[in-house]
Amino acid sequence: MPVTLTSLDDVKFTVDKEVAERSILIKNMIEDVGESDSPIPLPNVSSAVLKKVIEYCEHHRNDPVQVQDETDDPRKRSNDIEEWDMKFMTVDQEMLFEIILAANYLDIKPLLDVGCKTVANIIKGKTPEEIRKVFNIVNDFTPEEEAQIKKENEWAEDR
Amino acid sequence: MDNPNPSYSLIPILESIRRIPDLQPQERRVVLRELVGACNESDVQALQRILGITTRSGFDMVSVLPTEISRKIFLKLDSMDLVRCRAVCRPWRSMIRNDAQIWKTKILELNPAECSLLIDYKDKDKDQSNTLADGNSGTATTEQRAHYEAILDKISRQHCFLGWEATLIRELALAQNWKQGRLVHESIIQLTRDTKPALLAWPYLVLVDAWPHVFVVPLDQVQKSRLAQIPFTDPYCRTWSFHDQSPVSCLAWDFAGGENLSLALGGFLRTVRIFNPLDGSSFWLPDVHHGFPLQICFLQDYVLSVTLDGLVNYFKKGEDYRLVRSCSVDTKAIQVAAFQFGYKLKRDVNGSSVSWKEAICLAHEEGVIILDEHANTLARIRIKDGARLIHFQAIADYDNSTLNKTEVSGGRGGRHSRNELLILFEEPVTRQRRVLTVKMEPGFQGEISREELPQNVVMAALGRGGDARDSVTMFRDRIAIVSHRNCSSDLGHYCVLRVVDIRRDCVFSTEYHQPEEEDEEEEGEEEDEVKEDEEEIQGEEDGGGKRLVTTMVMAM
Repeated sequence: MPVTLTSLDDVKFTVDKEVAERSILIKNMIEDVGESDSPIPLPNVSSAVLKKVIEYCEHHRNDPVQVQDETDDPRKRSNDIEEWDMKFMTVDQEMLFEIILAANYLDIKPLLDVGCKTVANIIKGKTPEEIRKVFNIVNDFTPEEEAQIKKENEWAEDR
Repeated sequence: MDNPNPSYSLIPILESIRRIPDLQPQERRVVLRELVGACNESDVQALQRILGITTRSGFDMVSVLPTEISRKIFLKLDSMDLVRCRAVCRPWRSMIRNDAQIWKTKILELNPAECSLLIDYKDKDKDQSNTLADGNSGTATTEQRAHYEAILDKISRQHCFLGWEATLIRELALAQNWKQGRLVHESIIQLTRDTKPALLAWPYLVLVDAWPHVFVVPLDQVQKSRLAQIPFTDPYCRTWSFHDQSPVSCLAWDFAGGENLSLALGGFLRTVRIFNPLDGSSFWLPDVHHGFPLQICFLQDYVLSVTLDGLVNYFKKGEDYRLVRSCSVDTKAIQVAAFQFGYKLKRDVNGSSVSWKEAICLAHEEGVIILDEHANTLARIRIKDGARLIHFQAIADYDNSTLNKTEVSGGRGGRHSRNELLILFEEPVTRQRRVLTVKMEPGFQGEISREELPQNVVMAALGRGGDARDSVTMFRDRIAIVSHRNCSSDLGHYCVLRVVDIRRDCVFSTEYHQPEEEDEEEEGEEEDEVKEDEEEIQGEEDGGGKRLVTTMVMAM
């Protein structure tokens, strides 16, 4: 049974119910509304992002639904991302940001998780300077703070 | 629409554009995407010029995301990355530091078998029925993890708890410092025959040579700089020379001094100088007109010297350090140790009540004599006939909570009190070195029982006394033996440091050798005890013509 989703900029997307229900928000909305053909409005998601989200849900439509929060199970704590997801997440930072926000709003835990892992993987193994560079962050510490921080992290140096 | 005039199609567009400020951020993004999508190559370049910057793709999304999401991201980092993220910028720093949950979660991820926090806690926890997961915390059951979490909560309620961030950092720093070899500090200092490297008192290293020169080096400078030769030319080292003092026969450090650091130097011409290494001031103790001082030690209110012919002299600390009493022990003292009990003791002597709070143990070749601060003999311990005492350690622990803090009469001791003499001696014929434990009454008034420790590992490690120029020192339940051997010409000088743990019946050993030619030291280290508290292990060298290398290893 198909479901119609309407994005913020008024673009309509028709997807299978099974795909749409990867989003718990949408799932709950469908339950509340009952049998209806009216499109589901998603005023917080733009069409470009919704398109990506739908692509993800289509690919993962047959995945088992996760019951408990992943962070409880340390075995799932690896930051490995499967290949398809990795390619899927090769987007500019703006889009990455929006996918994360959308996954949060739509309550699609696996997608949120993959998004966070992607960001974490960008940060991993980088020095603070390198992190600043990749995210265009300005170093707003005073020289005194810098000196204190350097001292604080001395033990972390690999020498 | 079909207006040939281009400006007519521009105006509505511009009007729409002017309504952009009324839009929500999401809507604005849509507009921008449309705009950029409609741009061709040259438009994009124009846009770049108008913006005045080259396109960069990054922005600080972590700061902008909701807290729960940025926390998720930080939790996916390993601890070291997390630590480095604190140094990126102020928003990241405060996000991470203010979130105790992140740190607590990271601690829970540590392997309980390797977490020193838990190991320390487990040692203190008498209830051994609680077992923690061995191996990876990843394989711990939910039950074990819940138990682990309960312990961490208990730890967090202790008054000495520093917070989750500091606690995790301590664990990480411990592991990191160990991996990088920073945990074991080695200072190799070339000493000549006449130098007494006897004192290692945090935070200073004090060396005295025979001239005498006194060298005082702050210990953290010793680690960083490469001090190789005496006299030290390092600017951190302070040197004093005493031209009016005879060569040094003994020295002692006043640990009870607190603010006033005192070093006592005994000289072969019977003189004892009290010296403050920080400001260089010094004065003489009165001459006792007896043999030269063989041992010196400090009590709370007294300085004690023991002369070669067995006279024990008590000098009262104060304005003029007068000699207040002497007693004779009629023997040559090879080692002296003084300590405070921390509480006052009382006993009956000839009908009158005598109190004391300190004891001086004086070891000679056949046993140990114990005196109090009033020069009364508390006990005399003799080891078996023919045996030779090498070294001893006196332990007087008490459990503060169960004792009446002001007075305890002879027989009562605290619940966990430990009053013992550990005596390292040589067997008569075989010269096998063994340890004798003598349980003492509280206040060291007399002996309760004695036992020769049978441990096999320890016995083998202690070895035999004999021609090896061994140096021995004891620290609570551990004995450190430095054995020097002059080996063949290609092996050069060989030195083994063994630390024997009497209670746990185990040995740690480290070998050093310096080949004949001037090469780098090589070391094979087998020590894997990481979580020791501060411990001094000290080897004294004995001279022998050639320049011997003495190593001091301090495991923190």
